[in-house]
Amino acid sequence: MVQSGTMAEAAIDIPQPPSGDGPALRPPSTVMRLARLGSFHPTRISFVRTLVRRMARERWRFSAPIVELDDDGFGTIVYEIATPAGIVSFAAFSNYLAPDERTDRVIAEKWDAAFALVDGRVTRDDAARLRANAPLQEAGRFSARELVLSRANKSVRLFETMVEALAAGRQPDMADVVEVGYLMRTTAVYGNGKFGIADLDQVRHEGVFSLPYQAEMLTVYMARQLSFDLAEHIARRRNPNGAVPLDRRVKRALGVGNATGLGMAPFLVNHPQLLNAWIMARETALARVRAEGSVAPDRIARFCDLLDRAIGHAGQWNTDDTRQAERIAILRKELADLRDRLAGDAGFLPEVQPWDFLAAWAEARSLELSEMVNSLLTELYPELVDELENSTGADDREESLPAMTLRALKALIERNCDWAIARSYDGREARHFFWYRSAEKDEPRLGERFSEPGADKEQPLGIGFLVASLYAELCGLDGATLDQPVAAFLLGRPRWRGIVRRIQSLADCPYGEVRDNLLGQDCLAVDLLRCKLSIFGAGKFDPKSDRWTRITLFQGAPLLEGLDDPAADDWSFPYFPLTAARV
Amino acid sequence: MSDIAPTAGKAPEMRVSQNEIYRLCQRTLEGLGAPAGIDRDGAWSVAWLAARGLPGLLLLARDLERLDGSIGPLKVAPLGGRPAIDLAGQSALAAAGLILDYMRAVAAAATNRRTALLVARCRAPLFLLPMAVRASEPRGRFRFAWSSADGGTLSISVAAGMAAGTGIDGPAVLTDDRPVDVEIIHVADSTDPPESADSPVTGAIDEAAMTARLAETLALGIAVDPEIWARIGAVAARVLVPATAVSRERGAGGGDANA
Repeated sequence: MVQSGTMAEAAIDIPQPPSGDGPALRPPSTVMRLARLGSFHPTRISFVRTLVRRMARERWRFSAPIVELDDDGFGTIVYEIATPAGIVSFAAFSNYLAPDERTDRVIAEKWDAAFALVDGRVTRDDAARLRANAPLQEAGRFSARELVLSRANKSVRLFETMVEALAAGRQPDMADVVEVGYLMRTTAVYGNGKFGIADLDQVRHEGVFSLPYQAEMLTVYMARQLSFDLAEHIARRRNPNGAVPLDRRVKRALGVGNATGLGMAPFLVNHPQLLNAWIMARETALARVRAEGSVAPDRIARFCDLLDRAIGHAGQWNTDDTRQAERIAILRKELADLRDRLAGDAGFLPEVQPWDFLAAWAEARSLELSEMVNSLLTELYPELVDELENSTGADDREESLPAMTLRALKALIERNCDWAIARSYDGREARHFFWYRSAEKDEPRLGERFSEPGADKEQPLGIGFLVASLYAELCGLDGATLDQPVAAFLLGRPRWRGIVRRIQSLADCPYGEVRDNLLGQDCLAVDLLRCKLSIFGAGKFDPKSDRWTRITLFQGAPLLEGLDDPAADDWSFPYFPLTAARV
Repeated sequence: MSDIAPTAGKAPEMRVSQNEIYRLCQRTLEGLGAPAGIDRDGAWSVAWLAARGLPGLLLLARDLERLDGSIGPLKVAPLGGRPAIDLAGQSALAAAGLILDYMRAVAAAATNRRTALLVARCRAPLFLLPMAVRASEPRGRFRFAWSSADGGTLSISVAAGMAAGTGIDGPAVLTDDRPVDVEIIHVADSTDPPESADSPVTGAIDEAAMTARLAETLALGIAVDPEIWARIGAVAARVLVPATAVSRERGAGGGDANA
């Protein structure tokens, strides 16, 4: 029974965003714009970097208890990875793929290789079960022992050339190696319960993978090792007496390619608390570095070294995409300009807070330069930055605040969602796109509202539009109604439940929303992809349209046999000299 | 094992993950016309129950036709002198989150921090449980009860994210298809554990048993009835849009280049 008291009395304060005594973070109005997110580069807390550091720190050990490959490299390899928290296995299955069946599209049904990351040891019976299912990928069925499922195709440009060279007793042309950057290219890496594999809670429960995407990144890292082992195996079978193994320098220059389409884009919108955690960690790292008061000369020298390597990296970053090629050209010039200033002008960096000055200087130039400089700055201070990797996880559960009054909700929108309500959604260009799920493998897609069918099944990813629509309705309510709690309002208008809860849940998540109209004609979905991929640690972004991109993961990363090297972690923006590799 | 009634005595034919259940049911509810947010509530509830060996999928599958196109606003109106929401035979699946949040708001404004509400003619009241568990964290208490056709009564106490059942909680009361009246009592700000059972329960709604079943389903997957899965999946498919030549030309889903 309702007791005395009014709902208005239960009005709660608007949640306040986090504040603290730490260094100032860049405002979300600067960071969370699509164009800037689409200019992000990897940092030292990107997931590939944190994984490699962890493997080194915990002295993970790798072995291959099952190797059953024929002369062409088709068959099974199982790698065993011993971690302090237990054993996981990477079971890989290499198959013949006819040229006309080779496609990067996610709707493909056959691949050169399929693999699964498995909790515990993989017996021959396990391997047989996985061999029957892993090559089927989405059409197979898996158990909760499987943590990640993935597949890859060989690089047509490089794999066979590489094998031929090794079989002939020589190393491949380094220019080809750097140009392509990988021997195998994944087209999907599935986790979190897809197709019957382990739920995220189980993956975390097992203890090896407590941080986001560590299992997926380990899978990709092992795919890199698989690509080396396959190439060397085939070369040895072709010429048992004359073949040579891949030079370590060549291996370092090879990562794993990836073709990423729109499937990744809605993730950032559907997991705003996770996005907030990722960006918060990144921005906190940058803020800590920028707050450094005075800087020892060796730090400046270290920055110059990193800058030189980044200049080399940018020189080896090529794409056929006109827009990205222009951005890279500008980046190269700006990097050279920065190097000249640092070398030629002793007073370029102020004595007090030089990194703050440098970041601001770069921010006044291209977004590519600005974000690359930010990434470089975080490389300088592992002691300030690395622990932030532990804050990249988030419980994505949205919580409602049912007693909040509509007046408070309205004020919350005005405070946190000004980016959404200040924009006009009138006109076709403002609602040009709609997001939907394709009947082809249930994958997210972007349709053009006024020329393609399916808008009646639109996904609610136009957050700005939804917030603005809710706000307009709140503005039409009278004063007495505004004193009602949100929960009473939602009983009669359940269509707003999702967006109301989202706004409430993100009250203290300043980096939870992409502050652009994702339905607008000017929305470049590829920017969303780059944001997430950079957080993974991808580099060499090579857009193939405004909806999909090629990237490389782990290029320059230490090898299995090099993880113990104290310098192993120093592989940001890798550059590879094109001098002939040692035979 | 999930879905007590349909799979009882049968070997599990198919195992799925919690995330697969969530994804399928979210799409299904969307396909039934549930607004954004309501679809997530419902999908989360089904997965929560299934992961604890309770018949979430069965209850959803059974009410697909009733839910289709009829998930809409709710209204509080006196019934027999008590505040009530009449679901008119509808499943609690789509309504539970809205109802419990409403009660939280009312209790927060009440001087004694308590409120009571009658949910009349409610099908599948078991869907109140996941939402009550969630709404009771970190502080809050719910108690609700309903009776089955065979005279059994199940009373569920939920507090601080835990649940305890009292009375009969076997298939007859968990999967009874009749609309029932459910009296819900909510106390805000309580951090006490659920009230202990004062009469034997069959074990389905028991925190320790549910936790054990959750651990098992996480490790082994959740056994589902393929027929139920297919029925729910058929509705989920409504939300999918056939690919167009334009989308393929633009390279959605990755490209065809083989380089």
